[in-house]
Amino acid sequence: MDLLNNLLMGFGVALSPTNIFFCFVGCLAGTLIGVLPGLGPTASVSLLLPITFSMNPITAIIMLGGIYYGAMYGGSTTSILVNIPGEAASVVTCIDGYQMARRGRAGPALGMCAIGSFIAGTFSVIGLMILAPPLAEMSLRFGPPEYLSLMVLGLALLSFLTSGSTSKAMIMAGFGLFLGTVGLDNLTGTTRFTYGTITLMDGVDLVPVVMGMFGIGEVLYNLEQSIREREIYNAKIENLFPSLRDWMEAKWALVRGSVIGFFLGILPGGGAIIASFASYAIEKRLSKTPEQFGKGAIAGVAGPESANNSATGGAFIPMMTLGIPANPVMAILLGALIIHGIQPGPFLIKEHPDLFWGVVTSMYVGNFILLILNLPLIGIWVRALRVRYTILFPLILLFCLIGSYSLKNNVGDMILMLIFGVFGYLIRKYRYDAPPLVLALVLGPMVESALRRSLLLSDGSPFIFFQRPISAVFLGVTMLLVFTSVLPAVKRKKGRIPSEEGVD
Amino acid sequence: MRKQDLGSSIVWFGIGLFIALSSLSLNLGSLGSPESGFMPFLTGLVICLFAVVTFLQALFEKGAKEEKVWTGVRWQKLVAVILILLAYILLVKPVGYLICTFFLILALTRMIASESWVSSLTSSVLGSSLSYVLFNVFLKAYLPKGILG
Repeated sequence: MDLLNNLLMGFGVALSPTNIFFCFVGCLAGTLIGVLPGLGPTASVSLLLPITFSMNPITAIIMLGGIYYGAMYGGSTTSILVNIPGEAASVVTCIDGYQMARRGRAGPALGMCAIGSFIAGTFSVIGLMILAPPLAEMSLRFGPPEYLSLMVLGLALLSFLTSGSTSKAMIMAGFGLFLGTVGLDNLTGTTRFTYGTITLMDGVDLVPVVMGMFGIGEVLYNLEQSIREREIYNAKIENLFPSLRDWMEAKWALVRGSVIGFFLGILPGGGAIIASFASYAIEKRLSKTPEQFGKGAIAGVAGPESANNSATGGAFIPMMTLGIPANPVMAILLGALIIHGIQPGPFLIKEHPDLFWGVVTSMYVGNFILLILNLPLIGIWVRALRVRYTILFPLILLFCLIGSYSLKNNVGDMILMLIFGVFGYLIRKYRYDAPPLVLALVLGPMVESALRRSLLLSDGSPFIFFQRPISAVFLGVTMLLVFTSVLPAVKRKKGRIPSEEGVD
Repeated sequence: MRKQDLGSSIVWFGIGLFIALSSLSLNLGSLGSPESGFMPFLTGLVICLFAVVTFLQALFEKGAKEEKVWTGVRWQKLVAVILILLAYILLVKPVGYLICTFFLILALTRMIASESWVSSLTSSVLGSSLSYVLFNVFLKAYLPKGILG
């Protein structure tokens, strides 16, 4: 009964005219930005975050959520029509989606994406409703040591799962944690690494950092070479609703993708990306016609697309129940909640039930809006694909400038954003991943507080983290990840030297 | 990425070392009572540790394909964009949002993207006015009026 009452309360919040409107605006803006060149979900949410500053927190999170899953949808459209994934989780969709488009089946591919995403999104919302409250109850038993270990595990997982080197990702996470310490130390009142600047007294804000790294950095990276406009699938898009045969081929892929995506989405660190790859691999293995994969198999579109959308819902669980974001977008949403004066964590559901249930049910509403936006309006998105980057990039830069300025009406924040823009460009050139830094920056103050409180509790014994079973498990997994990813690699490289020298 | 990794890991080691050493002046405290410098000191050590790992991995990485990171990079464009943004940041408060934004978009579309004058001017007028309406009127964000205020 509780669930039903909560659902009713949630729908009461989500279906208020203001929230429906902003959910719609979020989905629309997210889809639009998702199909535009050079911007993924993280950049979309970063760029539009300042728009939500003047809203109430529930409406703000509903809109940001809409932007997030809207951008995920938009990413799939570019995968199918341009063979360029809008974001990493849509990389797999390119394989069979683009092949379907080349064979004149762009319509069913896009339709399956939209409907599959809707089904998976719905599944993940139901999963979120069922799993989040008991998990929040359980996490109430967590003390500072458990929290610290869990956050460290989250950072290690994200670093482990990034595209590049784990050690580079750990450097990024370390630097993010350092940035989290800049400013006033809340416990002692000491200022740290501010060098006399007022801008840094409040700490390094998330907004200039993400706008700089994902907005300015991305633009600089795109501008460094001659701008090549994208080649877009030109034929008319027909038959958006997949045929019965398509459904028969894709039905189990949709179900499996939804389940895999949801559970992998809960894991910190790029859940949606792994979910889409895992789903593709499973579908190919289970298929009676695996040779069709890579040549336009609809199950190769349905599985990964449902998996990455289901993971979106799953990712809300650790953020809403533990206050620990599973990916950079969730880190930005968490930052948004904090900007609005709400501390996410185990008490969120109890203290702000309207926010939790309102946001959860709005995701359901959002999925429905996206279905409407994506099927009948596909022509508009195809047209948006043709916007020239030369017109687009000044607007991206402008949004970054206004966004960082409007946070506190402070020119210093714009300078900080420009610095992080150049930094974001450089780390991209040198293949350092930005997500661990963003996650660590958000978690930084929480990590420090949990660490210092744990050490105070244990009278200075670092063994407290290993004496408490839950914390010990988290740290054990963390150490396993670090050792398996870093040390064996060094050993393997060392082991290879003699033979290579021998060959020479 | 071998050479680049060797270079970048040395830079990161330097950054980590700087953070760790600077933290000493903030008072580390003790394990039983950590002070303000404790956490930054740890992060400095983490950065140093993984910079060493990255360095060693790059050092023993044989046969890896060398990528030329800076080949074909249009430096002038990049530096020009950064300078244009810096000029905007410094001038937006005294001169005002509308004027600065108009010239920002004009400079970017005309100088960097080599769009035609018509296209650049249209983008500048539309971009500055519509963004002003969106942020100042609808979203109630304070945008500097400058000399027009």
